[in-house]
Amino acid sequence: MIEAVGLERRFDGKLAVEDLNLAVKEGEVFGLLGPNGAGKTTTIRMLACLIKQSAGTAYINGFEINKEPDATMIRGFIGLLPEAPGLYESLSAYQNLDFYARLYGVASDKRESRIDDMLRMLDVRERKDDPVATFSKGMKQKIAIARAFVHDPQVVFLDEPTAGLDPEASHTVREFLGALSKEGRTIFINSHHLDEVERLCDRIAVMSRTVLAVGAPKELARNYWGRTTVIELAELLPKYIELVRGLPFASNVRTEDGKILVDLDDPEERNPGIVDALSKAGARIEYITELRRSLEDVYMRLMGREKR
Amino acid sequence: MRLSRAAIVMKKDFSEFRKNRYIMATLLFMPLLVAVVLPMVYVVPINELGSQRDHPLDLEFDITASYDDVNFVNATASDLLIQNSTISNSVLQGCIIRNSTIVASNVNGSSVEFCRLRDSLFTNSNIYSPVENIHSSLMESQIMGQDDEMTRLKDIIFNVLLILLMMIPVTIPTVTASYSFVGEKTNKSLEPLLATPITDIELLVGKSGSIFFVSMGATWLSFAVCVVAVDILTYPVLGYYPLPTAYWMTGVILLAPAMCMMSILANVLISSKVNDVRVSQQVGGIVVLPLVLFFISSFSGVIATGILPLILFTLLVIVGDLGILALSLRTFKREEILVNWK
Repeated sequence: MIEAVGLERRFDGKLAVEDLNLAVKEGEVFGLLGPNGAGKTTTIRMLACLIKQSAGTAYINGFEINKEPDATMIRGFIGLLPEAPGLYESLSAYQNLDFYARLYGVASDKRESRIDDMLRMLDVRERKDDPVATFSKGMKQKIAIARAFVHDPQVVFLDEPTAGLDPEASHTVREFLGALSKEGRTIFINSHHLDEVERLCDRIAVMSRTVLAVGAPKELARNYWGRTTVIELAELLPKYIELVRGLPFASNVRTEDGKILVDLDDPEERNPGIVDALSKAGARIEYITELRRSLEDVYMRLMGREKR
Repeated sequence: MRLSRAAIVMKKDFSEFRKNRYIMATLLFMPLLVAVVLPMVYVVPINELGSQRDHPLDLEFDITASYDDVNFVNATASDLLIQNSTISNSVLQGCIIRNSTIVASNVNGSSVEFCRLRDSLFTNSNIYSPVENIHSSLMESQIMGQDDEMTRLKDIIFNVLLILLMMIPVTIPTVTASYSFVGEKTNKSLEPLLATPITDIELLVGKSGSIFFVSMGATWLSFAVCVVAVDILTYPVLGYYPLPTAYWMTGVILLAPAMCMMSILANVLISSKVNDVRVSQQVGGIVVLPLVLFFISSFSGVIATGILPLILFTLLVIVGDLGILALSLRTFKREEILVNWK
């Protein structure tokens, strides 16, 4: 559905995006994570045929970006939420969406109901005839999100969809995106919100000028941190630590906050062996669990700032 | 290019203009000032001068027949409307004679308008703006419109009014275009717009079109109101309707749209460099300079007056329009707008 091959963009000779390779499947919700200046917005702008790439290329539904007439075709079936809502403040919410629906060629008999549905799902239908200038930041963002979906696009690019929204509005937006992703469309999200991306996205990519890692959030945690088992004993004696260290399958055995941490290649298979050895040595095990690494841990490690 | 998409942008812009108080105030104030208030002020000197002149005789006509392009020789006639004819060695009574040549005739109790008068006698008649008067005599008659002082004053005033009228298609775009282009940029609404299937040229046509129609609508409406106002205000003094003249028509029909386009396209260029609506308006005001320069040169005698110089100036403006259009097309591209517009 979306395929980027060696995509690159320079501004005045400076690399903003370098050798970016990505493949996003049809119907997938894909998240692009990265710090400010990582090239996320530039990537979306290239994929949405707004700016040209300096090298490489990308395909959306098989159409090549920035190559006419493909680019015009692409613009017809994608939706875009840019960083700023960019609404017409003097016009009403309905007029804003109606303008875009007309530009995208939405049939006149479907326009009104489509706009109505979007506004209802985002909980702003009551204010549809009010000028956008009177809306809060969160409401404006909701209207901008509705605009990205008003023509029922196959692929949607969202740049920071919940930036600056309060928790309630964020929740509404997440539910909206969740509902629309179930309709089989591809959604590409740029975000700083690690928690949100983890909840919404099937797969994510972490980028800093180029893609550093791609995968499902859990997969990334495993790939970048390995798997660690945490054991809490009633009494932590040095002999128990030495015992675990002596096990052939255990690596990087250490203690932290009175607990033993041990890296294992396959905890499901190895944990019973640890429990057995400790029990035989007379240790009373309070609990044994796997240390869960968050997406933030993965992100920080990839960015070279391991969380302490 | 699909004009329907450009029309959608135009319609959206019209809605925005309607809701922008500053634009609406400009759209109402400028034409009101130029078309109604200024004519009332400027025709005062004409009326003042006119009041010091003799008034036409109070004549009554009972026209029974009309003649156009006829030669009257050795004729005796009364109560006729004669136009575009030659009258020689005749005696006419109670006639209205227009755009004709009267030679060696005796005219009594008649209205003689825009005629050539040669070796004739006019008694108890009103003579309006004679084209020439060679050896003719007037007895108890009034001659009007041949007053050099009045003619010069009238010309100056009407030309000043025309300059002011020409300001409308130049200045309204500086306000509307600055809001339309710079406003769209500062509002950051160009990015989602450029992500739609609309082409760069469709967008440029749509946005320019809305400004053009609004500006030209205001200009032509002002022109019509101004002509009516001037005619109503000056008729009692001049005895005829002085406007519109061919010079005015040429200015309003040809020069005004060309100047309007120049103003719009210049604003597109300016929009790529500035982020403030007010700065855009100030810089856009420069477009008015060639117009003022032309009219001042024309009145002061540096260049010839008349329709031909006006048409030549219009052609020059159109060439300028094409040049600015070429530059605008280079500037008004997605990549340029999103990356290089400051």
